[in-house]
Amino acid sequence: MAPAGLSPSSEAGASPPARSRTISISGFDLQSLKSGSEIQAAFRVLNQEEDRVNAELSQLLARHSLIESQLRHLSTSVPQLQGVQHEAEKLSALISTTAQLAQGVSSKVKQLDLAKNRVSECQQRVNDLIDLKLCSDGVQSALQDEDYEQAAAHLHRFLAMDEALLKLTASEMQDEGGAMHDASRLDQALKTLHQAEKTVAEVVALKFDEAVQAEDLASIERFFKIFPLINLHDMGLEKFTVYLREKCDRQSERILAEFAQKRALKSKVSRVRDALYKSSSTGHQDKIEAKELDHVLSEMVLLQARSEMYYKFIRKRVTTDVEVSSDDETTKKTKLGAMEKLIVSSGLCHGIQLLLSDYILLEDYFMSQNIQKAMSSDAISPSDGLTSAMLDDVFFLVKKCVQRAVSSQNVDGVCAVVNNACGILEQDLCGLLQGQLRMGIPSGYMDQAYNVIQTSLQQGKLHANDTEKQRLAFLTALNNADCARDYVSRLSKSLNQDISNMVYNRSQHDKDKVDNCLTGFIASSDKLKSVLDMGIQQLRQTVVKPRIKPWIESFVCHDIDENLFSEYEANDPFIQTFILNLDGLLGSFKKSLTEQNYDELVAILTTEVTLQLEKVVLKSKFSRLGGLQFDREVRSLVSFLTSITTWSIRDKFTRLTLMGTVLNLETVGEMTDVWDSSWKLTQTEIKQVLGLRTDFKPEDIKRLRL
Amino acid sequence: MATMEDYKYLFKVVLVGNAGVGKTCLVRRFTQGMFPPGQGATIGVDFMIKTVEVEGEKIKLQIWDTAGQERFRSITQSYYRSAHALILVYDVSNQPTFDVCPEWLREIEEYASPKVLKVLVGNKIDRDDREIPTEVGEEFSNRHGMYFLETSAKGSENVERLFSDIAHELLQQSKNREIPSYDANSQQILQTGAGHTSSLNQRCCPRS
Ligand SMILES: Nc1nc2c(ncn2[C@@H]2O[C@H](COP(=O)(O)OP(=O)(O)OP(=O)(O)O)[C@@H](O)[C@H]2O)c(=O)[nH]1
Ligand SMILES: [Mg+2]
Repeated sequence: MAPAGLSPSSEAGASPPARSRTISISGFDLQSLKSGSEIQAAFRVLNQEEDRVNAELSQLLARHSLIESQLRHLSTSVPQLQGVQHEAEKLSALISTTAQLAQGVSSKVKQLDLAKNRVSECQQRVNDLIDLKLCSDGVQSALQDEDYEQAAAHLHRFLAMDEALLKLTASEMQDEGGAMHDASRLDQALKTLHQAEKTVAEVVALKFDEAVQAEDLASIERFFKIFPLINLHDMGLEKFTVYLREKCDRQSERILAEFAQKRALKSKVSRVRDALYKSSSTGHQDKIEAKELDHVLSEMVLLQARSEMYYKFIRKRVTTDVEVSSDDETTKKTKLGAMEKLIVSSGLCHGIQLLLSDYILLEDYFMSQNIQKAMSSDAISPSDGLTSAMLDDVFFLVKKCVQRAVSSQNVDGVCAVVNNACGILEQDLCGLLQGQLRMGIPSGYMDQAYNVIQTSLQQGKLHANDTEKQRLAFLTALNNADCARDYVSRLSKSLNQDISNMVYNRSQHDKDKVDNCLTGFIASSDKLKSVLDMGIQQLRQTVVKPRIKPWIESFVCHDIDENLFSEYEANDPFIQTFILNLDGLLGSFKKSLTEQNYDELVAILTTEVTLQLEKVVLKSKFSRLGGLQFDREVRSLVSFLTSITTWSIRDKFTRLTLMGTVLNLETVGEMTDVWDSSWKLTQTEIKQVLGLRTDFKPEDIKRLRL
Repeated sequence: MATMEDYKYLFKVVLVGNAGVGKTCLVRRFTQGMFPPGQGATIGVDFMIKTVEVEGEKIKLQIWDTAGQERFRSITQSYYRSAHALILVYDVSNQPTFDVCPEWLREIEEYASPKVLKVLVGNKIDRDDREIPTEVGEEFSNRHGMYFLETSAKGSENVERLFSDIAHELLQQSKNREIPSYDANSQQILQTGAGHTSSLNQRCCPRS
């Protein structure tokens, strides 16, 4: 590489454009210079060029000494380099000699190695031949002595030999003219050993089975250990695991039988069946008490949980083994499928299924009987005074039973108990509430009296008469239905948590299964809702509707003049009293209803008021001022009802408000200005309302097009 | 827990009948479009979901395939009550599986809702050793107010039709019950009710 200082392109003050101009100057066409000024200019340029060339020259000269010294330095190094080259050549010669030597050595080592291997193979063959003799003699005597370990050990030695090689030896011996009888002796030994191998395999398998039959654990282990010696690892494992499985089945059968016997399970089950199917015919003397079952149910669940734990253990072990031993997905699947089949077909699984079946029956009985008992109490809940104490008991029991099922770890068991729990809620609880609500609520005129009676009742001062009892029972049932929906929702949330913990490690299929069973609680909640709706309808039919009717009927004629209008302003003829009455009616319920039920009552009351008011309006006559009056009345009603509820009731007043708007028009023609397509009144209805105005001409109304 | 999914109706269909009549094969044929080889007996209850479309409505069928073996009876009985449709299956080439149908019906009457849709299915019509003629099955179903269909899970005859007929019929029933005689007030009450129902109140086929 050229030293940086010598590079022309990077030389300071000698850039290529300057140089190219120098060339052009040398060809300066002096003839073409026509005027003094041109000559002057050319002169200036030439002067500048001269300066630059001078500067360049002096710079190059200044570096002269540096370049010289570098050249001197280089020339002193030349003799040294010649020495280096000489040394290198000598080294290279040395290395190639060494390499030749090494190659020579290594080929000898290879030969030696080969020879050594041959020798050791030879030794091996000699050893094998010697051992073959020993083995074939030994195995026979061992078999005679029934020393199967010894026989198997001989066979193990024999199986480690390369039989093909032995046969080769025999034929070589013949080729080399060796003794004929040596070769045939070898053949004989091989035959003996093969025969012995077969015999030992048969005998050991037989003895193993006998040991299993006799439950002779020592012999089982003894013979199990022989299988691998004669290369029958798989057979040994197969036999041993079958033994274990059968033992597990037998033991579990014994445990389950003993459990069933100690706990008189059969008799419990049949007594429960009797109680369920023949309760009316056989009387109650032998009726099984639910509390008798509590303990045995917990034990049944424990047994199931233990067996689930065992399956879990097996599954985990086998899955891990299959994972590491096979990489092909279909093989894995087949192997795991085979394992599931084994589990499912096991005696343990069968026994547990029978136990589960009984458990579900007994648990259902326990749950329904206890719930029946709880429901027969009509104590009022001390916590809110509105619902029954039995609700707490009912839901406590449902939760207890389902949680018990969850602790069994058995998905089918959980599903069945959840199904039954939903059934009890829908049939028994809803049935009870429905029955109580069907009895109806007495339609007494005792808005004010009622509060007094209820306070006295709570303070124990008064014995409620039948009407009051009936009323209280109805309202409590209504509150119970409302509250029960809350309970269901909370219950299903908490069970959902328990169950998702249980199925955490299970298949998606199991998870979906339980999830879909849990939707049963939604149906229970819906059923409660329909019961509640039925009760609310009762309230509407027997309390709200008949009470409102006479109040609405005092709606006065609205065909009023200015005098009457201002008198009404001072002395309200209808709406104030009406609002007072409504307030009184609602007030009599406010303390005895849950918040949601009270809102529901306000909702049906509002609906009823608007319906009946619509009807009465359509029967009335209106002046312009009457329309204004009506508009005001609707407004005060809306603001009263809004003040007592938490939700917006305005929607319910849409039609009445629109009717007020129509009745409040100056002229029929204005109708087209106020109307738009969102109106909840049909054209016919609008015309009907316009017709109520005494001052509107029927033909104007008829002509109206919207 | 179940969330709002892409369906409008949810119906529960439960299959019952003796062991080995082909309940699981029918369900597999319908849900997975195949005839399972080496199908083992069902343990407890098996469960499948399939969404079908009927009259432009998405309908989710929750299918519970129960075990026919006696020892699972108390598990399977717990599924009757909430079923919208019950399919009672027998094997047309196996007289005893048909002869026990009255017993299955007694069980259905005892545990299921009285309004449940009952369907009688004679399966395995692909076999040439039929023992129960079509008319006999049909007559039985008429006598007990049941729908009737003969199927083959193996050859897939009528399998699709079985489930789609059920979906159709349940949709019809559900629509009839849902559309009330005109009553603006009860409508409004239902609406205000819906305003403060719990998250539990998923859309579900009305039952009782
Ligand atoms: N030829 C024929 N064989 C069928 C048909 N359906 C099922 N099978 C066979 O019947 C046997 C039982 O079928 P499954 O579907 O397991 O019977 P299952 O009713 O579910 O029995 P459980 O689960 O024990 O109650 C199997 O060997 C099936 O291959 C069919 O339509 N035709
Ligand atoms: Mg099955």
